[in-house]
Amino acid sequence: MTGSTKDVWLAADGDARAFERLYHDHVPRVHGLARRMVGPEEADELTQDVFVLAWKKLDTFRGDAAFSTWLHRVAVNVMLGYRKTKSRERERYAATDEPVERVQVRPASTEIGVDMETAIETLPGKAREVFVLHDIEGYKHDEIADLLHIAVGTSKSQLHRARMLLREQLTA
Amino acid sequence: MSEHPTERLSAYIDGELTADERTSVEQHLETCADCQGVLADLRGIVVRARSLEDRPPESDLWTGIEARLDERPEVVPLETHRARRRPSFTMPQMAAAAVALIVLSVSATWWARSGAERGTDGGPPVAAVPPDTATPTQLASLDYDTAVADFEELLTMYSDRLDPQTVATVEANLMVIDEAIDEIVEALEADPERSQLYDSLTSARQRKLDVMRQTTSIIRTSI
Amino acid sequence: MRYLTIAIGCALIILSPATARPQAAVDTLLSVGANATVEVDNMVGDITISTWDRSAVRVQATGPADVHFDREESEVSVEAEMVPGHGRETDFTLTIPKDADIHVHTVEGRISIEGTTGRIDAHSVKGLVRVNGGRNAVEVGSVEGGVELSGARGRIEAHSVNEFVALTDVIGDIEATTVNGPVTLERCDTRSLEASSVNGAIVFQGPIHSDGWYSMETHNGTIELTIPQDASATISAFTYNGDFEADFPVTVTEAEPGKTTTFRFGSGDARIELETFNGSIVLKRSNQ
Repeated sequence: MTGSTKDVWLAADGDARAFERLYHDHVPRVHGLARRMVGPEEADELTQDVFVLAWKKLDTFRGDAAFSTWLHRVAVNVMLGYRKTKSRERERYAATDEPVERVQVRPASTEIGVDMETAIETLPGKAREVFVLHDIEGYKHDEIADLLHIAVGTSKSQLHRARMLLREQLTA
Repeated sequence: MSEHPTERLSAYIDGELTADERTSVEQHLETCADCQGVLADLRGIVVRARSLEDRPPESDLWTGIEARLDERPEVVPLETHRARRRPSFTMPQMAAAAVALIVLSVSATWWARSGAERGTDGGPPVAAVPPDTATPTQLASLDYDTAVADFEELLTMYSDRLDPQTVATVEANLMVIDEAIDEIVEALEADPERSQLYDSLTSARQRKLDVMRQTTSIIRTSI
Repeated sequence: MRYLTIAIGCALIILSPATARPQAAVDTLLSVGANATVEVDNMVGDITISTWDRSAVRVQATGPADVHFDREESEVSVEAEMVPGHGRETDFTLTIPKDADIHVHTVEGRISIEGTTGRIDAHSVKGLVRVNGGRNAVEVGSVEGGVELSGARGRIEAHSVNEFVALTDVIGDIEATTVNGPVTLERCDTRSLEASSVNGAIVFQGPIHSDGWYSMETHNGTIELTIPQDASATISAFTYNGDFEADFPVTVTEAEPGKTTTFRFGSGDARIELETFNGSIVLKRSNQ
């Protein structure tokens, strides 16, 4: 049993110190996912949500997949849920402080270029989700289709759309 | 020159085109500098995406997480954890009298329905559990409790996203089923000879699972 | 120039209504190949789908949302994206190839599908779902709204939580459930029926096949079953607080107090299970 596996079992039995070790092992990836899916402003909070939820759900982790895979799935679901919430809140409360039109962020100077992370943040909803899941997190289209409840073809075309939009920003 | 196959370039990079499509794209690329440029750009993006590095957050998040760890369900974690791995559990939520009766009788119905008639996907995942470790009824009950707890957690997760009226409606409907279950349990306590009531109880509990499953599915796909 | 070419070559179409968008209208025609799949995701607003004989999908939308289209070969996807501060409801009207498969979802809105012959997956959280047609696999559902399905064939699933489920002229294996409302099945031809409610009646009328299995259960509601003249079936019926009623002479095969009552018709081939806790069980005879 590796140290990490042991920690998973200990944590599932309520050992918070073991869970803290798991947290330190896995937080970079979860936080990276959060930054790219929801943006840096909310990444910290969402990362915390992921680990709190993982702690609560640990006793449903049956060990049939790697803990990192399981945690990552928890994280993806939290992010997707949050993005939906946000979009729904925007719609429900019709926030007046939001810009009416999404302004495409273009690089002020091509010498420096736009940071990839920043460019990802400007992608529209589904394109951003698909791009992060496929090109960064390595999910396959059928898995993404399943996660996002979209057709496989939609996942593919959103990926292409995302890449083209990024290209506009990064190579202009 | 043929039409630019721009929309296929991502699929080309990802190796998702058929042989014919690939050939067609490659033939076009040989003579089209524009598309070569796009292809190179897209490849560059894919490479950059893969090479993005994860880094820990700049601020300490653990303290905030640790403070929230007591949000774990009210059930003692260790017991819950063990209960789900071992058959030596207690059966919560059921009236004691009913439990004793169910153990005698429900299992056959449940097995029959979940297996032979409804198919494995219609019932609780009873069959996945080794039958030598506990009686089917016990496991069915355990799966039931687990499923109910999971659903309630899920509903909580979705509650901030759902119209409060929808959440209230779902909860009211689950309560309707709970009331039906209570009514059957009371009838059983008063009249334990009515064997059909065991089936009714099983059906009502099964219905609650089904409703939770269907509601989850609708909410997940719609929101 | 390069960008212009790319823009033309790109199959992806994004229509962003202009800034003054109180009721921007979209009307777009997208050609599709055979075996098309059409997917519509809306948040607030109705979705109405009808068919035509063309290999194309026409999408009309009225409302403040940004409408995004994706098309890849035979798959068309339409998604409404809310624009903050510009109202809520965007209604879609689609005209699609008759045999297209459909995936339609909305949160607050009605779904209406007319005359399709493909697979259907149509769900609303809080709106009526009304479908006429569908083949192979038809799944329709609503949490707060009613569900009406007619003319479907294949494996049928129709679910509500807080409203009625009504099936008419449906052929195939049927699962029809709700919690708070009646489940009615008229002229439904099935060999496998699972119909259930908790607060509501169950009504079934259709052929009873000798190799069929029919289950109808409710807690607070009447179960009304119409038995064809030529039916060969064994009915196991149970009610705790209700009565048995029949509008024709019925022979009780087994009757033990407090237990299931068994009725037999013909040679008793089909299995019919009826169960209600507080309601009555009503058997009627059809002339067919």
